[in-house]
Amino acid sequence: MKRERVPSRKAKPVANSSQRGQADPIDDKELVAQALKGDESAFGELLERFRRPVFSLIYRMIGDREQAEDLAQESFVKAFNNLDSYNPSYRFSSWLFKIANNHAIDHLRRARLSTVSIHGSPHAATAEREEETRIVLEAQDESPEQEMLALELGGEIEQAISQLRPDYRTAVILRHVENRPYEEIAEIMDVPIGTVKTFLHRARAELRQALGHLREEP
Amino acid sequence: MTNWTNGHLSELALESWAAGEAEAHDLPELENHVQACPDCRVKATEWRGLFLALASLRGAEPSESFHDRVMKEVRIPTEQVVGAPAWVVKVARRAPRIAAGVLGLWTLGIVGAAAWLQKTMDVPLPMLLARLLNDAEDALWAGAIKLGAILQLSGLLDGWPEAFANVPGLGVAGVATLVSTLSGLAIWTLYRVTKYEPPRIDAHA
Repeated sequence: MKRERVPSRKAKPVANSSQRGQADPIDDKELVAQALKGDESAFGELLERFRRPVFSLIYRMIGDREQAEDLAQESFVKAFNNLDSYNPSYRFSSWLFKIANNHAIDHLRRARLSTVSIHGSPHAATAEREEETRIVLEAQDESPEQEMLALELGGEIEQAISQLRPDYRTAVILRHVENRPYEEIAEIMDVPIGTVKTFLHRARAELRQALGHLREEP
Repeated sequence: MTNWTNGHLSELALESWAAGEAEAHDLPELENHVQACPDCRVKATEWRGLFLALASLRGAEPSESFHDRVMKEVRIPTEQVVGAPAWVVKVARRAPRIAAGVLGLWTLGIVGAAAWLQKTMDVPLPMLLARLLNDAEDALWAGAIKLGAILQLSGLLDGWPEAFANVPGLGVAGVATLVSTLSGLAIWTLYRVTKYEPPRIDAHA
């Protein structure tokens, strides 16, 4: 049985310029400037920094690993091949996430899907394919009890998130998986900060209702 | 934001408290109330349960081949383009589309002009095509020999393959230029064959 690995956030730190023999990480904008001058390694480092969060966002939006990889690849290629249209007055991550999120939402529209299943792709033709496309959580560096709890909570919350409408889902993933500030989420989603807060409040209310049976011990 | 609704903490207040986003100066009051009020404690517990679940979410990792797959399709800017004004870079990147558009318009013009001339001058079509092909062949050979000589003597031929490999769309633009030139020669031939002269307008009439 093929299982997909979704490792801990802290398991793989983003690549930084220390790999280039320098102490401080190079700013994303500086990397973009180097890439625009034809530095291939700058493209490589930008890809290393953002491949996990971009893939992670699209994967949760789509719910199918194979399609998510294709969409993430297309997003990066589109962004890198149009790097000269990036406006440095904004965060590079916002610009990249916006491309990826729009690409994922376009895919959902084309496929006429508003929610995804963590139990496998709705397009899966066979049971094997459905199994291959499941979102499977993997707990790392945790005790067996913590691992069990994380898996149980993770499964419940993943299921609930997959049922949210796409803009709520984007906001929740960016805020709670990628830890992005409200300002950046607003830039990515192209909405005012107040709207982001409203999306998050409504999404959390729906999630709270869906997870109503979960209780923290007083 | 008001934190209170009918003597209880509002949902927004409980949510921001559970998310760790409550204002520092509000914290003691919020915490004291949650401890004292059973209703608010139940709701606060639910909110904390939700944020505990959200904290358990983990990122996903693409496959190992992902990096190579992306880099294979990325167009690295070349030295020829680097340092050029932004509009030059944009035009260079769109060169294939621009060339294809120009080529399409040119071909349409040639075909339209040929059809119009043939109809206007009433030249038999087989004869016209035979002369056209004959003249075009002559022009092609003469043009190719002259162009080859110019490129060889000027040394441009040595750097040509590298330019084709590095500058995006240059190959298509080159082909478009060649086809456009040949088309120009063809329409010139067409004009000579039909001996067409535009009607003269007497301004004094």
